[in-house]
Amino acid sequence: MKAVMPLLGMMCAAVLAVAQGPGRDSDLTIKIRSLEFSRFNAEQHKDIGALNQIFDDGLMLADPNGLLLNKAQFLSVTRAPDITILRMAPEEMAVRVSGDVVTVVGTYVERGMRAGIPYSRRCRFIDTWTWTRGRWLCIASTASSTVR
Amino acid sequence: MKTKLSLFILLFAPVWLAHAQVQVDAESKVMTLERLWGSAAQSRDIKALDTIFDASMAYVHIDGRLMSKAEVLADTKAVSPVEISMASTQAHSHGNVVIVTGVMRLKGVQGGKPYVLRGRFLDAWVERGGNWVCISSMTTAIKP
Repeated sequence: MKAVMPLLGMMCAAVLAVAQGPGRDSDLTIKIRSLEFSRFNAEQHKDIGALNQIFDDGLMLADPNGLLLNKAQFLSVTRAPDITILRMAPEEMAVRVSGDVVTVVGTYVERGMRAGIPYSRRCRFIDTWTWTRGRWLCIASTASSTVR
Repeated sequence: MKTKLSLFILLFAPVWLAHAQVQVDAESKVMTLERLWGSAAQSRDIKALDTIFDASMAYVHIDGRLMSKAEVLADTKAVSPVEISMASTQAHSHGNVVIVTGVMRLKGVQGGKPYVLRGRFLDAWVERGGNWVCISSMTTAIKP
């Protein structure tokens, strides 16, 4: 019996997480927008702990140069000391809810120093979020510095 | 301890194996649809593209244009023929969502001038009523 108890506990936790559900669409839009603000803020301040919580371990990220990065590579690039992001913030965001999948289409601005040289860019991005193990995680992110 | 471990394996191994098989099936189906998308875009098969794209699809063209499904279909009809090839394609399943990425090469002629573009695409697919549809797609130009 003792051996079964932890298993029952795990199953109950899974059922509760599913029952809690991803939330109503209006609440969800606010929640995901808030997560996006946190994501850009964490990236600007190189807050690896926060980024680790926001992105799924199976993240696929295409950066504005067309480079594909997994989560570990993205965190490593973000941590790099030769890049200082002075400002990184979303401008506009459209949140599209489709069951337990949310797509955010928007633009952001970024300004900073790379190897001592100042840079700035405006990018369009698409992020995909899913309800995973009782919370929202970003599973894919893509950006392009060509905005028309 | 061995009994507990055996019980755990007995209970969860079939579930895990079934889940892994579902993931592989989903990724395989979506990869087939990606190839179909490429050939449909090349042959301007609007009917096929209509079934592949979700009504709410967000599409960002390699030139930076944000387009709706209707705009993508209209654009496909209007543009001059394009040769499309894909490489380094990979898919990753997250339950009822599959993310696909790869490198796309577009070759065509515009305004009498030939062009070749290379871009990284990243597409998100969801399952709706047993069919997989693309809900978002962005291609980022690969800088030399």
